[in-house]
Amino acid sequence: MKIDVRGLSCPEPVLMVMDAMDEAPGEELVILSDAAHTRDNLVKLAQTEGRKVSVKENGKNYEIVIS
Amino acid sequence: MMERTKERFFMNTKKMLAVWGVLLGAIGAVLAFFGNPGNMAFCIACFVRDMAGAARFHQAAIVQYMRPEIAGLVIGAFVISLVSKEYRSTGGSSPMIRFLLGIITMIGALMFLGCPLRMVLRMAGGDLNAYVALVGFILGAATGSFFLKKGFSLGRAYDTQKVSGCILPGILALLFVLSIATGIFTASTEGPGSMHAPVMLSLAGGLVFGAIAQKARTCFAGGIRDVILMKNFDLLTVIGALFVTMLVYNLVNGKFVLSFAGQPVAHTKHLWNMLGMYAVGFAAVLAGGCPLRQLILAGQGSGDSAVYVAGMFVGAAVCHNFGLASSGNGTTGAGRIACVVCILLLFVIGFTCKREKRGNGR
Repeated sequence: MKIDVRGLSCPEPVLMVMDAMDEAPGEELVILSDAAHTRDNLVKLAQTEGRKVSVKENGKNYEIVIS
Repeated sequence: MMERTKERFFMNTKKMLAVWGVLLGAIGAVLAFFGNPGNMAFCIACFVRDMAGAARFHQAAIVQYMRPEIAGLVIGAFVISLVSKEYRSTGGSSPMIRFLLGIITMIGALMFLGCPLRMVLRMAGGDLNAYVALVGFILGAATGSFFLKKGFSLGRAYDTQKVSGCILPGILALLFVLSIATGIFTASTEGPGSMHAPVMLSLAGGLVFGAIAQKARTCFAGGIRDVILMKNFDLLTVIGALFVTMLVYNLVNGKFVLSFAGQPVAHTKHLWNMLGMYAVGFAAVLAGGCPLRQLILAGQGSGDSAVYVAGMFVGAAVCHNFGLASSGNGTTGAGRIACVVCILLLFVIGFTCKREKRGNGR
C-alpha cells in the first residue's frame, strides 16, 4: 500500500500509518514523506510494532518502506 | 540506507533526549541566574508579548522589551536545519486557521501567564498554580488528540519559494540588530519587562536553545499527545529532564517556594489557570506543535508556523490593548469571556477541518 504523507503536520502521518497497519495487518507499506521528523517518527513506529523498516532518500523526499 | 538512518537515529535515543533536556534546562538556569524574571527564564508567550510591547504594538509599560532569546531561538533552528539539510521552505496548510490558532494560544497563555515552557519552569519553582494549569493543558492536548483521531487535519503544506522560509528569521535578526544599534524600541523600566539577562547572553542562550530544540524535536504538546496516541514517551523525556534541571537549580539557589500565593508573575484563579492552558494545549495539538515548536518549525522554513507566530504577536497586542491579559492580581472579565470564546472556536475548528482520504495524493 502506498501512503503519501508529504506536507502533513505532526502527528497525522503516524496516525495514517497506524490506521493502515490496522486495516491491512502485515501488508508492506511504502510511505512518501518530506520531513525528517516524520521519517524518524515512522521508523520509531515500525520498530515499536516489530516491523522491518528501511529508508531511502528520494530527491528531497524520503521513502519509508515498512515490511 | 538503513545504516544511515540508524546513525541519525542515534542522536535521539532516550539517553540523548535526556541530555538535550538537561542542556535546555541548563540554559534556562543560566538565563534565570543572570536576570530573567522569576520562573520566566524562558517563555515563548511572555517574550513574544514583550517584543510586541517593545515595538509599541501594545502600551503595557511593564512588559516591553525586545527579547533576544526569540530571535536566537528561530535563527538557531534556522542554522541547524540548514546544516542538517532539514531546512525546507513550505506553506499552504490552512494559514489563516493557523493565524487564528496563534491568537487563541496567546489569549490562553496570557490568561494563565505563560506558555507550556514557562508552565514547566513555574512547576520547577514550586508554583502550585502551574500544576493546576498542567491539568488543563493535558485535558486540552487530549481534546485535540481526540479530534486528530477522528480525522482532524489542516491539510497539506507545499514547497514555496526558497526565500519565503528565510523571512521570519530575517525579520527577527533585523529586530535584534535594531534593538542594540538604535533606540527605536521602548523598554520597561520596571516590572517583568525590565528584568533580563545581558543581551549577548540572551541571544546566545536563544541560539543554543533553538538548535537543541530543533535537534531534539522538543514539543510540550507533542510530549503529551504522543503518550495519548502512541504510548511513546520520547518527547516527554526531554521535558522531564528540563524540569529536573530547573528544579535542582531552584533548590540549590533557594528559589524553590512551594505555594499557590505570592509566586512571581502568577495568579491563583484555579479555574482560569486551567481553562487558559486548556485552550493552549488544544490549539497546540491542532496546530501540530506548542508555541516553542512553532518557532522552531518557522526557523526550519515552515511558512505556516511563521503565520502562527505572527498570530501570537497580534494576539499579544490584542490581549494588552483590550484588557484580556491576566496579571499578578488575577484575571479580567474581558479575558474570561475571550478565553471561553477561544475554546468554543477550537471546537468549531476541530469539528470542521477533516482529513482528505488516504492516498488521494497531491
